[in-house]
Amino acid sequence: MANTVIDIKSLTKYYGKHRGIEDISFSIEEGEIFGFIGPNGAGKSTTIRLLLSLIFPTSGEASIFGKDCFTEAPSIAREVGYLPAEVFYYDGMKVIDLLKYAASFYDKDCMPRIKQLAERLELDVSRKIDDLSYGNKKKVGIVQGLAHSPRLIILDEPTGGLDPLMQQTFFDLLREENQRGATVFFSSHILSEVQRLCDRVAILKDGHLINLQKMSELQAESYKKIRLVTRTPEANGALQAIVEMGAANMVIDENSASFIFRGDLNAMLAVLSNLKLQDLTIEEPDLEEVFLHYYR
Amino acid sequence: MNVLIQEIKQYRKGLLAWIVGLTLGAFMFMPFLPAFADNVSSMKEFLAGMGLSLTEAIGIDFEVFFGPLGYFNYIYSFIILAAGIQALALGLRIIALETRFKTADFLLTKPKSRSSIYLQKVAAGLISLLVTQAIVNLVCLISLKAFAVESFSLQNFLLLVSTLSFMQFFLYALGILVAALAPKLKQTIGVAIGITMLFYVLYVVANLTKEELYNWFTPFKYFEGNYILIHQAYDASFLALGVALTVVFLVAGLVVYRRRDVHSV
Repeated sequence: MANTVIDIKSLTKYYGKHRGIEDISFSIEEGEIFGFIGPNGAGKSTTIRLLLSLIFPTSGEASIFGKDCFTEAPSIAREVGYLPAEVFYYDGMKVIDLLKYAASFYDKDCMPRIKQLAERLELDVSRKIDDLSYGNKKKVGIVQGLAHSPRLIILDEPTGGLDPLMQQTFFDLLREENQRGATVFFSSHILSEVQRLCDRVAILKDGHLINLQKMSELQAESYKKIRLVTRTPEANGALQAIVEMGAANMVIDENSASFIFRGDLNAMLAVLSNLKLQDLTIEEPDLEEVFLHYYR
Repeated sequence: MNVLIQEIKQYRKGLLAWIVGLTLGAFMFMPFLPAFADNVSSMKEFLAGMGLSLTEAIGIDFEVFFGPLGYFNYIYSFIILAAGIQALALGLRIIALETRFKTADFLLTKPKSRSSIYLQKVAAGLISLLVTQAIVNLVCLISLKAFAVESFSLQNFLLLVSTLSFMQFFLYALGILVAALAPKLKQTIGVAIGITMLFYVLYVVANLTKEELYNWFTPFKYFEGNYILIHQAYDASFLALGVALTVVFLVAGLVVYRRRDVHSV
């Protein structure tokens, strides 16, 4: 059995009276790429900041590698690479100075890996950080987060500011780290990137965990995306029946309709067969659509 | 040690500016010492004409003012005022730095305990202040030797300039605690000037009203040059209070810093 890397039990954080997260529990196994999705304000960052001991919980427990996140943070941090959503660094420093400073916190020699990563990301380390574009600052963040070859990589909305090619390189890097054995914990509100990368996904809404599933289950087993074109004028009644069977996100145009469906496919098809169909497609929904369903 | 070195690197330009400013301040007024010594009698009349209360308020004590150290103490009290602002601003800055540059996420997710980061930051600031004090006092001593007409006791000089160290450490520690308690603080120099001037005004009010109570609320009274010139010693209870508060501020700062929530930017 794989080792548990992150274990969260009934974790709750209030900012004064304001709810951050409430009673969140889940665990992540070694070697997983775990996605954490939800809109802004759902509690993704709160959870991550708790794991990193940047903030302290109102109640509940969290551990990484079996160590308590709040009392053994420095020892955990040796094995964790973190890339925050927004990257800012000290004034007037060159990229290489910052990377050397970051590396000085670890017992190992990170310089070969830093060179490797900088080359891969096409990052010029001799430049001043102040002069860098947002995307390039982000690269500095990636390099300093991965330089010590961490066993757990925590990323909070990591791809903002990276162009699509760079995003691809970055995802390749994460996959390689994962193949090396690193566990990846990844928060995002951009569902396609979670979809591309993750094995399992947790969906967060208003500070609560509302679903936790394997990516494959979430996409393939549960939901179908259906689009149809019909000449039957009184199709609305049939579509209403389908909604009652478990359709969601129903969008009806003049003579076409689309929806996602979870339920008995045969029963739905029986209803559809009464319509004069011109066209019918059944496909895997992308996560975006599944997600909208949860947020209706 | 890496945090300590980084902090000193970050502050070195500011430190240099403060040292240059403070030594220039000291140096500019010292040449007036011979002229001052020549005109003691007319100065006495002039100061009497200003009225006793005003001269007392700004810390001129007739008993001690008319020696080389008396005049020096008067100049030095303004150096202490400025150096106090430096120390308080440094205390605020050293903790608020991560807020200002939004680097808390970077620094506090590294494998270093918050206590260790705090202690290294505090040490970096203390080193900067010790460097400031050493240079400023050396320049004062050299220029005093160069310009003083009468001889003066080196021991008294050293006792007098030790007030700068106590004062800076006190305000530095206060700055650290304030910054730890106010995590959103970014503007440090304005706050430092405000708090230091408040203490100074309290000191002036304490001198004017001769109200004993005020003395307990201003560090300018805890480490007071005039008292040292008259008694060749500190007032023991004020000294003890000042040092104790300095330690309390630093420990309280650590307690707050260890447990405070660091919010995203």
